[in-house]
Amino acid sequence: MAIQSHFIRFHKEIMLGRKDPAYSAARKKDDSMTDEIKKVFKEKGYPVIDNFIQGSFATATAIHNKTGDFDIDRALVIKAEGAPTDPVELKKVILEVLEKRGFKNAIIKKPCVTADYSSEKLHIDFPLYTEDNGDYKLAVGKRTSDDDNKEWSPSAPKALINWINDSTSYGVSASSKQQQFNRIVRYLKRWRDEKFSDTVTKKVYSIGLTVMAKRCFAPALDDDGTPNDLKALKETITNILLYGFFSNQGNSQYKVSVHLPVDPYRDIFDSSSLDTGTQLRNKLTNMEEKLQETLGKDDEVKQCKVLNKLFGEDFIIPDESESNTTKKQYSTAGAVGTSQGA
Amino acid sequence: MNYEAIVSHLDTQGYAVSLVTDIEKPELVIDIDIGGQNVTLVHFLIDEIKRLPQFFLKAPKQYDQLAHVAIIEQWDLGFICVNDRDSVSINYEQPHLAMEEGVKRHITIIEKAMLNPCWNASELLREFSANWRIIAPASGRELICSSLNGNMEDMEIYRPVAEAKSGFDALFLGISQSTEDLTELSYIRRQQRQNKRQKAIGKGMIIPLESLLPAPPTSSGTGEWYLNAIEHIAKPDEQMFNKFASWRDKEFWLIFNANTPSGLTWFGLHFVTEKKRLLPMTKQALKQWKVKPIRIKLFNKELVMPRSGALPSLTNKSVVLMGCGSVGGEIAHKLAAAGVGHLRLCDPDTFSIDNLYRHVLSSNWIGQQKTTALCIDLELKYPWIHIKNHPTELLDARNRAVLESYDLLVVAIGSPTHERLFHDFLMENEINISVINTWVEGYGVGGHATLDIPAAKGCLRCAYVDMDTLSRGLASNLNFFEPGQDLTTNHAGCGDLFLPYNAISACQTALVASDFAVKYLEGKIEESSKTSWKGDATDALETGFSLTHRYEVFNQSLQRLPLYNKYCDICNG
Repeated sequence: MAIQSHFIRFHKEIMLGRKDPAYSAARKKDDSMTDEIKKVFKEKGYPVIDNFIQGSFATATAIHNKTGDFDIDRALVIKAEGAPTDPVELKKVILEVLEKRGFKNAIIKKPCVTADYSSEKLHIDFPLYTEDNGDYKLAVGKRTSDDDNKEWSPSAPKALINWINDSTSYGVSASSKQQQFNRIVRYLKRWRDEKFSDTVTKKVYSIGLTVMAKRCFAPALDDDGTPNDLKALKETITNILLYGFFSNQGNSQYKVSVHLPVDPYRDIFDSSSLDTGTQLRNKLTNMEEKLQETLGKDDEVKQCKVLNKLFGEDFIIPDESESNTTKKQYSTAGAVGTSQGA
Repeated sequence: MNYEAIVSHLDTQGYAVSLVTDIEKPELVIDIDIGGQNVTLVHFLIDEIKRLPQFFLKAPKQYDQLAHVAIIEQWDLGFICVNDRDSVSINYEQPHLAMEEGVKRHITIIEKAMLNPCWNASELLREFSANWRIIAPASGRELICSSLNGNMEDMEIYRPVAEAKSGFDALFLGISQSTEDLTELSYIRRQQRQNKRQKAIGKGMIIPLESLLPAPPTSSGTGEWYLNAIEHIAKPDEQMFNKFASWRDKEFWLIFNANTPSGLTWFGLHFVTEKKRLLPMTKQALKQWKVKPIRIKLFNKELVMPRSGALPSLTNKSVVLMGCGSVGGEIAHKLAAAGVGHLRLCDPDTFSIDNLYRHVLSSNWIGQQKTTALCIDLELKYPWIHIKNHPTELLDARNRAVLESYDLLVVAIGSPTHERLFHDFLMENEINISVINTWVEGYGVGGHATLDIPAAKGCLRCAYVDMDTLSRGLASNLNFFEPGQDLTTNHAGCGDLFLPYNAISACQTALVASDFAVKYLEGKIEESSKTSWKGDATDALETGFSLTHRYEVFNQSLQRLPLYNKYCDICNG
């Protein structure tokens, strides 16, 4: 085996995809509730014209949370024309549906309505949008917000998904490079969960890490086309540290600032503290050093030991005999078209 | 041509040179002294330098017989051969230098021939065949001799096919017992069966000589040369020769062979007289015969194969070829051309109009089994090949006994599914046969071949590791096209889907695979290997297809690379 196979194994351990059994079960619950909301909205004269998954499931960057919790973001879209001026009015409708389904802890948050399946560690967020000729606006406001804090705020949820999933600038083997990007984001998320306290972990937003990685992604494939995730991750982090996301505030304190690449172009870390920015920068710097150190090692067991410290126990340290063997793994595709002829 | 300037230049270089222009054919003359003898070289003036300027030796008969000098009796000149091949590039823009180089080369040859008798004698023998051709000019009616090994044996002589003006049919044909190694469809065996030729008058015999005298410088010396030559028949052959010589006939055909420094050389004499007589064995008897030197076109395996580019070491090798499509058909031809002696061709397909432009077969074969057509084509062209053909496909060939009876299996079917299934069979049953898998990609972007040697590290599956997931892949990781794209096109609906590539791509791929095969059979490759050729991607990109990272960085076209892949679970399990 070589180090890439250990990265692939690690990725399999942490990835959460749409084919994952946990996701499928959650998706059934989500679909059921979405149907109920659509029915009620239609009755009230606000038919749902579109709904889609957003967040990490839409960008193939979801991971198994260490606590086992996971979120599904289900966007609901109604026509802008005829929508009530007060966005919270419709968020209350969603809340009522959820409460009737027995969600006693369902709440209206500023950007969405959330229902928790505490028994299954599943959280479903319902952000609500209006749409007018491709322009989206997000229903912002809590139940208790005054008029100044309630609005239909310009947003571009699909554009954000498309931006993250866009591989058109990657040239040849774009699919392989995009898959490598997805893995890199998952590695960063697991690293965050591993290296930060629970409190700070929540403040190092996944979308922030994803946008940083996307802007700075450095794909790395060997000549035979084998992805080199170790090199790609290291180079991506180097780029992140050089990109200008971190501004020095003096006394070795740093403010982190990452703007959304689409409307409303807000700073994802706008409300973050200096402590969050400083910790994030310092830990990224430390990871870059460790990855560089790993790149310089020939012994893959030693490499895995360093990576295990970075990413936690899911990055398995093989024993010597195991490191010399490759396990049989079958393709997950039923069939694939090839260019082979004779 | 400014010969005054040339003369002036040669003069400054120390040559005794003169220009004679008041004669019918103006000439440039150079006098030199070689070993105390005055030697004159003559060059007839020319208008343009197209080759190395030619010089002739004046009055050549005054010297002993000289190697590389052919006597032209009517002009009393000797043509000097300085090996002026087409590959010699002449400085025609500086004629004086070209002329000087010509003079030097001619003098060098004459000096060596006159001053070094050993070299001269050796060269006369080495050049025996060329010298014989000088006294036996081409007639277009030479004798083909198909002797296997040059041993003494009788030979039936057949006249050319009536009214034939060119080709094999226009030549005399000598058939002996030792032609039996020829394939049934070879020209000579067909002539034997078809009775299109009449037997020539007289008898023929193949006569090996133990040693050889130089060819006579002129045809007038042929009789004397013959009487000397038969003194050099080996003792064991004398009895048979004497028996032959006891026949009376009006014509005899003697086909000699002897070793020279340049190999076994073949040449002949044709004896003609008015009434049946014994073969002449004395000067007196010779007076009743016309003796004519003739050229022999030898048609045997030992000469024809190496001379025409085949490897005699492959004649005992056997290869089974699965797939006789555009790539496989070319491979069959290349392996046969390389000299592989035994081929088994397998393919269930028939040759159709759709195959015409990219397949090696001609339109005469449309509607026929590809293997049958190829088999006949190859036997017609390659006289010593042994071919079997079977209308079977790869998965039907999962048979240990059959497979292990061959030296090599070449798979050219373009079906990754069947190729992997077949490889599974080989691995699970530990079949001991080396396998070449080869395929071409569409739109001219490239082609590939892998060589899987059972005892060596690396296998077909190494070329099928999915490099993204490091699992067993369904498409080869050598490919230049990203998997998952439908590259097929059609002109007549679903049943007519095909991968667009042309004959050049098929041929290029076949060359890569055939080169692998030949080198492996020669024992020059001992490790499992892979090779690819990379073509132009313009058409593919214009059509909107995606290429792999390997295509982008690949710069090792035609180079042999290790097949072993560190992520292959079979090789690292």
